Amino acid sequence: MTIAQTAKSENYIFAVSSNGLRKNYQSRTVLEEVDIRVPFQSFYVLMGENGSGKTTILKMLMNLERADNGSVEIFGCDSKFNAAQARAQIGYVPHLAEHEYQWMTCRQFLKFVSPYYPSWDTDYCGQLANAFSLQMDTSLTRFSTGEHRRLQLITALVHRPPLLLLDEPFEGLDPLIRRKVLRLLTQHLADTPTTVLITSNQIHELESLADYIGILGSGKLVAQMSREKLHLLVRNYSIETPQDWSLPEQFSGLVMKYSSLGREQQFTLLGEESDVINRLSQSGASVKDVQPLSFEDASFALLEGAKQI
Amino acid sequence: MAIKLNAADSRPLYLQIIDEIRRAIILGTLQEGDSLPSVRELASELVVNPRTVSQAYKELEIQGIAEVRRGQGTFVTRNVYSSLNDRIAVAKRIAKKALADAKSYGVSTEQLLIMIGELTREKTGSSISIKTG
Amino acid sequence: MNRTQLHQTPSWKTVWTQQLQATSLTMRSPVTIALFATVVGTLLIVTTAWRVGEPIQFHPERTMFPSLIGLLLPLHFWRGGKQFGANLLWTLPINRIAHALAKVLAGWIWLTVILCLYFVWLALLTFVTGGEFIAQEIIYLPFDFPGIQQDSPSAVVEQIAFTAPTIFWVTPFTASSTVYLAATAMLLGFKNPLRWSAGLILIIVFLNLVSGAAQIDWLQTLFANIFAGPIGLDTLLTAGTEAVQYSTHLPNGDQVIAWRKLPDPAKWLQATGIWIVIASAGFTLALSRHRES
Repeated sequence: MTIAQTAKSENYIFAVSSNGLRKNYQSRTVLEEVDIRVPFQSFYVLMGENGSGKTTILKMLMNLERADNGSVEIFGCDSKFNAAQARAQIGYVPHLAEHEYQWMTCRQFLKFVSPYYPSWDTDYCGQLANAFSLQMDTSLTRFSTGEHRRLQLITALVHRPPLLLLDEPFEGLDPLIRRKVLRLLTQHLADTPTTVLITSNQIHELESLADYIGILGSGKLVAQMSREKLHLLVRNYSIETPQDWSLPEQFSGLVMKYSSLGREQQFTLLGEESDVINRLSQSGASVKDVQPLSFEDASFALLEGAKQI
Repeated sequence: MAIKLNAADSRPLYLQIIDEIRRAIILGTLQEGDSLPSVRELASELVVNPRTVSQAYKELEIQGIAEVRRGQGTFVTRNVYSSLNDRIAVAKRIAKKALADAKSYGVSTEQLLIMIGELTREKTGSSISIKTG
Repeated sequence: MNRTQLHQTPSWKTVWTQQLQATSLTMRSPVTIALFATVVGTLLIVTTAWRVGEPIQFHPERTMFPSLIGLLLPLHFWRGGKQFGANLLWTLPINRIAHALAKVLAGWIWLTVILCLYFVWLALLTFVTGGEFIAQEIIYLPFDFPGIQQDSPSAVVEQIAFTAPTIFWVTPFTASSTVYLAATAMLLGFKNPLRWSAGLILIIVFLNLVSGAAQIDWLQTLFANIFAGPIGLDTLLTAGTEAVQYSTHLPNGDQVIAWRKLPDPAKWLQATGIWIVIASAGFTLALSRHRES
């Protein structure tokens, strides 16, 4: 059965969905009730500061790390009880990889991994290895960080998995290669319908690819929405206010950013525009201007907002 | 063909792509019967989600500007912008943007119009007459 | 869009083949080195044996060499890997425990192959130097007389004719397999296996010193039994032929190697059984840390 059919017949609109993921390391809370929902065939960017739990979530999707509580489904496969089946759907680029096959040459390594994926596309593998200019007969111990990352990308892409989990895939790549990787990734998406879940701090590179965004703030998924929704819900309000005016209580947690110049105050607020304007006017402020934000600005506004919570 | 997207632009990407293709048609870069780049090509050139490009192409098709021929690609069907009405529509959009910019810098509509007149004189040597009312 | 199929997991046969092939590939360089060393070693041993006129007797149990191989192979197979993290092996679409088992078994097959070669080599050496496979030897044993200090240099000794039972030939296989299993358990079960091993050794050395200095008898007896007792490690690794040997003087002043006691096949069987059970338990525990659910 195709995934599209499964998606339809069993109502999986989500390629990845987690329910109440929780994780503590000793007394430190790493994840708290994370319900991540990656829609079928979307390009989902998971943002968050370093140490906010992004890598932990991806590891849990791969069942490399045990959650204290909660469950994960990959196209309806439970990542714990049906782990092998779930992982067969995934092309994974881990943040760090230390494995015991570094003594192999690049060619040996690809030959070793390929049979694990029945859908491995040997021609495509050759193409990508060429495009990434990998030295096929060099031992992996002599690979640089960037070369390792490129090899990981190849292994993840070449079996054309329905889901790509990319953990900071561009880290350690120089700008020209980044560009190339992005192009190849775009072409890959055009050729192979794929759901992508990617973590990155370089949002501007993914800006034009992303159509979903999730924001992690200290272990909590503080926001998760589509590009359209982000565009509608995060806006910049320029207001003029009477003296002694302060923002009404009801906006607490919704202020992503604040700046002021002279009489004018600017708030980046989360909410329906008409609703926000109403509430601002009721508090005595007069809204001078409302501006939508670019995807990158809106994402960063959310990220900054997440820090305050 | 050079299609450029502006990351700072807050409009949806597919609209930006549509506008860029329309611009190319107005300028004559793209003419009736010309083929548009494939979704794969354009997406990887712009590093844009292929689905966004598809969406733009679908919209262009609905607007009657492009047509998908099975197995061949997407083609420009008619030169919409040759008609006066369409040119007026474009002019209106540009003017709107200029007015919004002027407002945000506290420039009045009159000052803006005067400056447009002056700049045109400088450039072409002939004056333009602005009919108001 | 409808062409995306749910992807399949690989067949078990594929996984086995891959693990066997990868293990064979990684054995290439050690085997090359070992071959070279064997050629040189053979020449040395054979020429010495001929010169001295002392043939090699066939005693595969009287060396720790197989156990050493059993220890080194896992270190070689798992080198560079971090078993608790995004290790490649665990990211592949195969049940982790089954995958680990496949890798461990593939390695064990190589261990067995190496030991078979070692066996053949020993046999050839024995044959070439004119040694015997089942030889009767004269062994000096302490004279079993109350009041005589067995370890004293001039202890009275008696001579006994002894033929090592052929069942001891199995020792290299059982010993090395047990060590292989235990070492693998350490590597798979701990985040920092080297740190744990070093710590364990330090603790044993420390306790040994303390118990010696403070005369804690029960602790000393315990250590002695673990290493050289009737069902201790020495019995497992060398069928109890290594730790029992000591140097002493005959009444006429000649220095000889005497044995505290004769190796006992029944004890050897017991020791082997017990240690295999212990190693297996450790290995099972280590594996369970990698279970999927």
